[in-house]
Amino acid sequence: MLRSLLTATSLLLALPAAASFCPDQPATGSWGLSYQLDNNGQRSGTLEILRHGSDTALYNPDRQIGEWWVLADSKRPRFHRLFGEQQRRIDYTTGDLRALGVNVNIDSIESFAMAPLLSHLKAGDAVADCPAARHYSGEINGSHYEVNWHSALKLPLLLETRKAGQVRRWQANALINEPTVNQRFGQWLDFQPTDFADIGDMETDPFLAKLITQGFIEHAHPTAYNSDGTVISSEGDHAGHGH
Amino acid sequence: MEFKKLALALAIGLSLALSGCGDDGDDGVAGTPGQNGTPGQDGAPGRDYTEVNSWYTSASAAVSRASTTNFNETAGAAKNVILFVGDGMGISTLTAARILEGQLAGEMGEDHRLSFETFPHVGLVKTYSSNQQTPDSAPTMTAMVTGVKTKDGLVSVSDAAVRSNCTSGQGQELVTSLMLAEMAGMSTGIISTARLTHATPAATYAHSVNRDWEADSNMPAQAITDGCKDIAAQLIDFSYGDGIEVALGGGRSYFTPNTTQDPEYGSNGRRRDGRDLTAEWTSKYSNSAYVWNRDQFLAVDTSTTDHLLGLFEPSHLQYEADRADDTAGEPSLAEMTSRSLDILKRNDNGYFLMVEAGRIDHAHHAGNAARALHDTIALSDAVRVAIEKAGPDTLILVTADHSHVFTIAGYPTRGNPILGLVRGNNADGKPAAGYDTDANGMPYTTLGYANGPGFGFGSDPMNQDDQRPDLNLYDVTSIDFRQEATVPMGSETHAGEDVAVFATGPGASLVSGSIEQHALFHVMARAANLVARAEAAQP
Ligand SMILES: [Zn+2]
Repeated sequence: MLRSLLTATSLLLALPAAASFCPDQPATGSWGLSYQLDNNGQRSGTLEILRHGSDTALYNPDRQIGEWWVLADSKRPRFHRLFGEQQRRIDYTTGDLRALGVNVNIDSIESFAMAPLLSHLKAGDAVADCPAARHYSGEINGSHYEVNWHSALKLPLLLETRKAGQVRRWQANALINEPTVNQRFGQWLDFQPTDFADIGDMETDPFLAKLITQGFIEHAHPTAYNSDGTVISSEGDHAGHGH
Repeated sequence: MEFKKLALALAIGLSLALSGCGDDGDDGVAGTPGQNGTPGQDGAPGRDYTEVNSWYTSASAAVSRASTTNFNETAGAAKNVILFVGDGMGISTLTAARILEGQLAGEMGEDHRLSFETFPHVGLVKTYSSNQQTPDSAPTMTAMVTGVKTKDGLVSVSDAAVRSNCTSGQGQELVTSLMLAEMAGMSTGIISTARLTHATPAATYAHSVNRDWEADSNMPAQAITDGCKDIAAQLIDFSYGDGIEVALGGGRSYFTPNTTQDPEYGSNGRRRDGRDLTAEWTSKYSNSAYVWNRDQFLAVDTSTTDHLLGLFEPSHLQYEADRADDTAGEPSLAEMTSRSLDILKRNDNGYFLMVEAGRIDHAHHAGNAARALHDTIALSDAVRVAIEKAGPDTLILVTADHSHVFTIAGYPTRGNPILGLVRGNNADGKPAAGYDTDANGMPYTTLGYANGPGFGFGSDPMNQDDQRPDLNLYDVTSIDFRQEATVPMGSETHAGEDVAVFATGPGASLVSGSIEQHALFHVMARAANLVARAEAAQP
């Protein structure tokens, strides 16, 4: 415990200079960033954020699960939950999201919930080796944040939080190219779709029956932070409150 | 002693009766056959029940009315039949919706009545299916429109069939009331706020061993090879009589190929077989129309259109609470009912119409009571339209397929907001200053669920003693509020207790007492003499 904390602290201290990955603004509307997630210095997973026109998806390639937001009509967002292993997709209409009490904040969805929090942090210098990114730090509701924010991509290249000895770190390490992004979205279109509204009546479908009884559905908020700005997931499944 | 009390009450009651009270608007005058009756008058809102004996006089008057309500119960006395189904509209849903509608009109709410609660005949319906204590919509609607119970998941095939086994259902297809009506030369219509291919509307016109076989892409290849047909195709290929006159609801994507884009959302259709069933509808029928938004729907000339197909969403229609915000515009259930009747009434042989409020069920599954109640009120509005338009030779039934685990809890004071926190009465019987609280001092809502997604509130503030959220911090009356649930589940479930059936018109008194769900078919069949009329019309 002590050792992992020390490791984390030393990483943290080295932060502003550690910007080996510095992507340019992609020339296309289809691109993504891949993040390595660490929990107290231990690698805990991979997460991708994919942009496809006005759509945004969060995808965990290890577990093949994802969340896909359709935001072309900002007042009427739609949402898909993706299960690659089963080749299944759950579709949520705007009405479904409202019935579940999910508040949709597009800035949050497109930035891992980071954009709305930036104004609460102290802006520092440009990141060494990556002038397109700027360093931010500060406390929000008891969590200490260190962020390298890429202002053109509107995404963090590095995001680290510390709370009660827990250090969580998201490090962008690769740009995902257009063919890969297009391939992902195309593949999800072919998944077997089920309307969220129908799930309650499909208890004989073994896959859906599990969702009915064990539940995943109400935690449809895509952000990695709850309303207090606290990290509530580093596994990429982004459980969040639904209000 | 008891007798003396009654006499006293009666005396006072009579004197109060002379001063007159508002009533609930169920005194509409029956019209002569073939003509509309005069609509009933709504009572003055805010009737003062603090005068205890107005209870007595109003109830006494209701009983007097009931004793003089005589319907012609001869077989075949009903020229027309309208069956309204609130999907998942259990009795607690009716009570809560009635109170909500009353409160939205500025009343206390409890003494309010939904339109069909003025019907003279009511029964309690047993909803179990042939293989489940608590059913889904497929066997329950099958029971209502075919006269027999079947297994869960089966759509108008007998329970000899096996779910998802195509060949097991062949030869097990059941004749429905809508098919009989078509055979008899009547006009027919189906309306739903769900997809037209969803279990409840599907059971009227289709046979399927799996309620989910709504488009060909939802079916295994073997089932198609074995000769089973998806539900959407069965609606268009329907071969009884001169075909269905009116079909209005959702499910557009199940009728269009996966190579064409939706006019409202741009998403692809779901059909692999390349058929555009909307185009087939207009080419199959003369004087026909296909519409997909409210403006088009309102522009249809109902005096000349013989076959109208309306598909207003790729899947289910919007919840009533969200309908005004729809991109392309959707008609209300009442509007669909009204204009359908304009078309159906043109047939002198009468009509059979099924109207489903299909999304009460969905809102309950999501644990969102407000949307379920607003959809219930929308059904009440649709029934009111039917009461006014249908005429006295029409049997109208209003029922549900099954209930939900939805409860009305605590001891709220009269007029307490039905979506609100429970505020009880103080020792004087007056509204208390604060909310009622649980064992740990936390307030709770009147409405709640026995299971579902409303268990716990994610990472939101929670009382650590009882693991409940602090509802003082929430707007519990918000349309989006999710009521609490006792057992954590991703989706709230159906419930197994009886549902109600309300009836008016010729044959209505056949509905009484505790009845089996499949008896409702026999009520409709006898009232409109469907079987004999169908047989007589055969060449
Ligand atoms: Zn249901």
